[in-house]
Amino acid sequence: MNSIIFKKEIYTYFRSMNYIFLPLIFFFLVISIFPLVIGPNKSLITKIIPGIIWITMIFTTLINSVNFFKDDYNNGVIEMYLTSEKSIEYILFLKIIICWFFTIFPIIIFIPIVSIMFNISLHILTAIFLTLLLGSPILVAIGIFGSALTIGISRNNILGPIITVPFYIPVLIFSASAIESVSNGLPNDLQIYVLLSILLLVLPTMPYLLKYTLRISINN
Amino acid sequence: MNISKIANLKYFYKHTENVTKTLSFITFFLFIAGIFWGLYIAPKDYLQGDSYRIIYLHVPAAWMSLQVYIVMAVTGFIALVWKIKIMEIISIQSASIGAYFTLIALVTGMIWGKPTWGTYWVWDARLTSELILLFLYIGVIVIYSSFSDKRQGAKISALLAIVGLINIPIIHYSVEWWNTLHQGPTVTKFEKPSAHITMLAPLLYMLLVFNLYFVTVLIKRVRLGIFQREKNTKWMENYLND
Amino acid sequence: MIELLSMGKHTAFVYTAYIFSVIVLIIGFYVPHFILNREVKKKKNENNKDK
Repeated sequence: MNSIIFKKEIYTYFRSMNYIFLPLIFFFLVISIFPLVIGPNKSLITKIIPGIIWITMIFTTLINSVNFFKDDYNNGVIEMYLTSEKSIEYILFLKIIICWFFTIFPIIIFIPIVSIMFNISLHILTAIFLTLLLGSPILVAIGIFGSALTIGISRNNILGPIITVPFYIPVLIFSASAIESVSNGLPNDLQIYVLLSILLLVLPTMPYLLKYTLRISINN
Repeated sequence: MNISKIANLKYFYKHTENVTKTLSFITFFLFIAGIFWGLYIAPKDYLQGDSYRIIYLHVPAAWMSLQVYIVMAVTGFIALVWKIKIMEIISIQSASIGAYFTLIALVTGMIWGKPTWGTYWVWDARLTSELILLFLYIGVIVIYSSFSDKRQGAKISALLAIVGLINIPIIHYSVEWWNTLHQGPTVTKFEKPSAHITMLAPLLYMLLVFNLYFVTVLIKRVRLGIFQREKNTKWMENYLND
Repeated sequence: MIELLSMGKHTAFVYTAYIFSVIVLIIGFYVPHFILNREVKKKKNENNKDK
């Protein structure tokens, strides 16, 4: 039964390659317009490129996650989940992980290309890679929580990001600090461990929180 | 059980009609007295001259902005778990009051910052957390107002308030940690020497007056909330015809 | 009198802060006041029209 759910979720993403490619394209598009706005100031861009990558990742995650439950809500699938005998927490956990794996993980795989575009040195690149790898599942989980909160609202286009972004701030701070420590030559173990602990805290508890939120949103 | 819940709202609405008038007069006069005390009677500061007097508004406003958030989250929690209607109304209405307090804290902080540090804004832990607190308040207010079913909206916004309560100390300490990382282990910006009692007393007084203000405006807003929910019920129509 | 009102070189700052705060607090008080009065009036007009 569990493998059936697993396969069903994966097939959702394989039905249309849009799910995988569109976030990737959006990420690279936004990254590419930053140098146009900032100007040909090479040293400045090299200094702030980790921040740019992270902010673009936040935008991509927000746009992706905010309407996560929209289709399921409109098709009445969520009531089915809530009344099924199988534990909905497991289903939600799978949904979060698979969403991250198919939409955000491709972006992370292509980060080395960003390093070529902006001439990022290798040790900073590994720091960026590691913080993104640990931080983006957290962002996806929190974004899905924001989506669950705003299910019942008809026009929730910008409301979802507004309530979700304050919860991104600790992840942002520790990631930025991790990257900056590396660029100053200091070790960044503390920040990485904090990110890892946030990930291990958020990911298991999010399904339970989501179940509660969905229950409220579906008016049970 | 259902009847006693509605009776609760009815009881509150009927019995607070005259209370608000007296409370608002008392608050107004105590507030004016406090302003006078802070502006003229409290002594000059040897370091900052007279610009420190802004703290008599800034500190109580900032304190209340946090206190009201806790009130909002706690009453929201009670409303979620025990489904008590008046707690829902208190939770939502205190969000607006808290947002006003946060706005006052931010603006007075900026106005105080210019003469003392020379700049209107710094991105240190306290100011940044206060700004994020304003966004959290706005988020709760906006998400409530975009629900057409107000009971469901109250539940969702209560959930958001509770999760946000956990977020506030995390943001504050992470920003503070990052700033100390930058500044190094040197003296932090606000090394407050222990203040004289003649300067502290008006501060504590203003804190109490701000609390009184909060209670007054909360009662008015809860009455408004009750009216908006119960305006089509029989008891409200009978009450209005008296 | 003017010396009493003056706050040294920071007069403008102190008074701006105080006036801003007082205005916001007064607005915060009167918003529910006026909205409630307006809604009660509207409801009473509806009741009278029905009668």
